[in-house]
Amino acid sequence: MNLPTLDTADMALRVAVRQGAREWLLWQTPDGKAEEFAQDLVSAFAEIEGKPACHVHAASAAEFIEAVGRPGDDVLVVSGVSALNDEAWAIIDRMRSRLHRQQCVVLVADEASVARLAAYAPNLASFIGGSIWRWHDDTQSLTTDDKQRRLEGLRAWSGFTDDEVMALARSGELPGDPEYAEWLVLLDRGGYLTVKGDE
Amino acid sequence: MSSRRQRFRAFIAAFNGAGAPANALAAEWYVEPLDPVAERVARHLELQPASAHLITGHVGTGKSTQLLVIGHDKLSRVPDVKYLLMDLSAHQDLNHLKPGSLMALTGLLIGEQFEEAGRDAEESERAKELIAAFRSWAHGYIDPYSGVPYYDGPPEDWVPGVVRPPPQDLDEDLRIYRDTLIQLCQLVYGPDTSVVLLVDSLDRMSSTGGFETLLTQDVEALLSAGLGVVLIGPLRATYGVERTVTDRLELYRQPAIALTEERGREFLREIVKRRDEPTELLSPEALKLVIEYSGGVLRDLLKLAQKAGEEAYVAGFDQIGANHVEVAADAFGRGLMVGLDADAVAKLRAVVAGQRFVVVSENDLALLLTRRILEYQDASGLPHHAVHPTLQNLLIPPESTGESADA
Repeated sequence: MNLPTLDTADMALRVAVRQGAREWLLWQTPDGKAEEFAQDLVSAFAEIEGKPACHVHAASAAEFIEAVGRPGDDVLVVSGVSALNDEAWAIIDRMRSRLHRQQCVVLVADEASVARLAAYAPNLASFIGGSIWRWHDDTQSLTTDDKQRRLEGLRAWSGFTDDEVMALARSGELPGDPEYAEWLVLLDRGGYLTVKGDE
Repeated sequence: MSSRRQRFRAFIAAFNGAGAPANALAAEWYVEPLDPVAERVARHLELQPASAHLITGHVGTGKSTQLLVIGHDKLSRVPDVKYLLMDLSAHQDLNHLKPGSLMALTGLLIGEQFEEAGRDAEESERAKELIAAFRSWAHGYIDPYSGVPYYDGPPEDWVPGVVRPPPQDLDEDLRIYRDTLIQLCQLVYGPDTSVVLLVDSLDRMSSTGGFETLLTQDVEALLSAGLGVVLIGPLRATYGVERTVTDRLELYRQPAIALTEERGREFLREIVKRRDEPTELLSPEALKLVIEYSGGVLRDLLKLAQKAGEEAYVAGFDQIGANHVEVAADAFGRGLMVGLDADAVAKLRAVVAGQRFVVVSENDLALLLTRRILEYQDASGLPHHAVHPTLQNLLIPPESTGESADA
């Protein structure tokens, strides 16, 4: 059974939408790649939001609880959880009252870890709900026609042209909606991503 | 920030299923359920304060909220009853729960309520001694009576406290804790006030051995001290041979809300409407579908609505439509499918096909504990079961749809 897929940029957009409250997201990445993808996610989030996310490596229940229990205003990306065994997830589930962080937490884990979490941390799984995705490089798999269709949709939605959006991005006046970030990525102009401050 | 983004952010925050129950009460999002457990427990406690009650149910059915309501809304209005709310997991590793842990923590909690103002010196001194005793039992102390026949120096034997494994015989100690607790309650609350302890988080215990010990020792001691106890306990304690542990308490099940009755749907509609009121993002069709797909589990209702909101926002829409709920439900169901083996899938398909679900094995219990199977109560109080609605479409065998199994 395949999970819905998101590439790194889209995952960062989802995190951006959900930040600001105590939310749990889970991103399943290829085996052995969680650290790399977690760092990529942190970078992508910083490009969109203009502020950093915090990245921690938690390879034991104690490290996990300590990291997520620490108060903080930044989105927290947690890797290293592939090392957690069944008992560790059960401990985390029991101790979830200590997971105090009032901000979005993104777990980056391989397939086996995701299955262990589902089996041994049912309460945490309930917090995650349907916010679980599998990494896939969707932008590479988009055909040229797919990209054009999406760009047409974005133009119709906003009323801007591609040139106007790029000009806004270069002048730092780009609105904060994640659609604009996606627009620039589709135009291969992801490097323009600096966002006007919140109004 | 654009107003569209603000609106969706506010919606997503309002439907946060991981939020503390106290926040929902404070925001006036709480809707009293049909035949609320809180009401039944509170009425029983009013008549018999020194009684023990156990609330069980699925993850996300609102048990912790009901516990809070028992104290905050019900017992708070009873003049001669004082309630204490404790999340045991916040103070005690549930994997190392030992006899006396709950007693010691209860003593500490009551000690926090002692106010020195207006007391005479002797009373204050006595209260402090009793509180210090509970602190020692909880966190450890040096035992001067270590059995050395000729005491000729400073005490050397450190005795670990009871919130970690202690070496001595705790049955005897529980009697001492009980007598100390009686004295402390009298000093703090007076002789005419009954005390009720509301304990959350025991539903997280993965085995019932520790839970049974807690019932047979700490809860018994609390009852004999004249305190009432309400526990949120493990669902597994109500199944099979483990059911014997619950014979000592009044048992209340917090089931999923049955969607076969209009009043159940109306209750869930009200919950969603209160949270959506400031933003009004959910279309009527989306609201109907969110309720259907929730299966009557409150946290799943919130998570599905939240996820549908996210899908609508990312797709560029200004309102949440039925299609966004369908996408959210599909993702939710795929999340529930993670980790299921072929036997579990076969069991779920059989239940979807109409086979009655009965817990006969640990694997069956796991399906219940992880919400793949939901439990309801019919009008006569008997349980019946169904597969989580978000799973049902995903369980259709590939050959019957003509599609690949890896859809």
